[in-house]
Amino acid sequence: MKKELTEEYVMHVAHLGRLKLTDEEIKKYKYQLNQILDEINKINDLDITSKDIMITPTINNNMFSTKELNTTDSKDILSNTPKTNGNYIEVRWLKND
Amino acid sequence: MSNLIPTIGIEVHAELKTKEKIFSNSLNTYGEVANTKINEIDLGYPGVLPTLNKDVIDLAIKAALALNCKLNKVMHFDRKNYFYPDLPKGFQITQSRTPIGTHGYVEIEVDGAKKRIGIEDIHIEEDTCKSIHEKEVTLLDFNRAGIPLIEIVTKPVIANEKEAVLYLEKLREILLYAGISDVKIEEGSMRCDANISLKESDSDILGTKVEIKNIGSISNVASSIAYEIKRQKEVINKGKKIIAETRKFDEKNSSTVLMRVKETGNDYRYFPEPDIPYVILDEEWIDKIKKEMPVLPDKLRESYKRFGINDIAINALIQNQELNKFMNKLIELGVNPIISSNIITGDVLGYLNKHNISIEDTKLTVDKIKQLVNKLENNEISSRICKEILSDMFDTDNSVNQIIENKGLKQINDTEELKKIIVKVIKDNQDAITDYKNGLDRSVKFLMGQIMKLTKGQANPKLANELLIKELSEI
Repeated sequence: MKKELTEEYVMHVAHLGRLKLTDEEIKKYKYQLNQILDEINKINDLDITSKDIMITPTINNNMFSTKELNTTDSKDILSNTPKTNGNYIEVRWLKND
Repeated sequence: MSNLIPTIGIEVHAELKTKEKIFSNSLNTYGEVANTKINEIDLGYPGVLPTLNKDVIDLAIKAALALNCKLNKVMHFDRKNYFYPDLPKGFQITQSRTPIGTHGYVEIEVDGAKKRIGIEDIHIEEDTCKSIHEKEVTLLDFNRAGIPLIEIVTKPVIANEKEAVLYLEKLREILLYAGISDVKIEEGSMRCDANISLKESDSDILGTKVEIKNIGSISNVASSIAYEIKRQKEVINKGKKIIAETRKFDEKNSSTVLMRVKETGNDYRYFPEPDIPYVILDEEWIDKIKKEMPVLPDKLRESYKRFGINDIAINALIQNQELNKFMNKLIELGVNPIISSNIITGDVLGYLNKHNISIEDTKLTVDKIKQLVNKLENNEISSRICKEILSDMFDTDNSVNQIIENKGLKQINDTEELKKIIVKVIKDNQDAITDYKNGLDRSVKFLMGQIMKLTKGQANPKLANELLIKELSEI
């Protein structure tokens, strides 16, 4: 079932990724994303009713972690952060949380 | 015109009591210095891979069983994509397609009638980091990132705020009792969201739902639901439409305020998490967890009721796990359950509460309480003497007999001695004797009371009673 991606949809997806796009970019991505979707739509031509979904190529199930503790020094973590505030990582104010 | 009926569904996030986090080997803690219990996986560094903590699955199986769910025996995880600083890797690992439990229920009692609150599903997911909103900036603490959670979602079957509170209290009791979660709302190890909509009473179609996020206490759940029902009724009665949105509870004004218009399920672009292989639950694993499950509060209530224990004592036992274990051992030993429960939830609990200690901090043992209860049951001691003995049992190693000896509480079993006392009591209480002659049964009880008073509770009650009746019949 082919469904064309509209400009509104491109803008919506951009919003979810908190991206600001120009009108030109919206047009460009609408074209490119539709091309990608056309490719993906080919899957719809296949009969997959008898197939299970595959979530991973590995054949191992029930793989669990070992119990060795692993904590990274917070100094290393904080030194990798653009802005810190005491031991906290500081980001711009997020309203409506 | 038809009525507007509220439909409520509740989502509860509960942190699981594991030692390590769900996908990394950093510690699952609360109240530590910010960003000290973290590693690269919790921070979503590029190239890191999650590995699953088996203890999380164990506790989640326990939760699913405790909430009467059907287990999903072939599970995988899914990525829920969204863009927010509390989740640096851009997605939360959760379960969307194969939640560990479905089709469950919690039974509550509403005004004497039982009602099952259906559980839509229980799924496992990772917690995000904690955001603290200051005046102009937001501070992030990743100690919480990656703590295992279960989200428990009810069907939209809750009718009002009262049922919501009953459900949450019951759920809390079960999760705490089975050792699944600490369920401390004030510390965030249990968090509640409520979905509320109104529908026409003659229609099957649910109204547009509004979600109230992160409600900080069970009583606030009740206030926010009551407020939201009122608000939605006013909007609809004005001829306006309810908008699907997320609101938060404003404690100061007991009202709800708009947070954001909701992103829909599609916006999260769920897809299977390829980095974690399938989790297959076999019968052996499930049986092992079943064997570890404690008797849950509802069943415990039932069995205590069968033993004739009263409701107040039952609730006290269920709220105090150590006392409950103690009581169970007494029952196993065949000690009178009614007398034991009265002593344990009465004088013993009173002492523990007064000193703010647990029963394990005292010198009380199951054996000693057994001796005490048996003596009381066989009328070898009166309830007054029992209290006196008990007051010495908390902090001494002495046996019940030794305490009786030491305190001079020995029972008077000498028939002649008792007779003398009874004759004196009869002589001093001629009014009661007249009552007795007029057929008033309670006068015997009164006279027994006088005998006990005179002997400071040391008369053998059974023997004294027999002798009294004999004396009275000879008058």
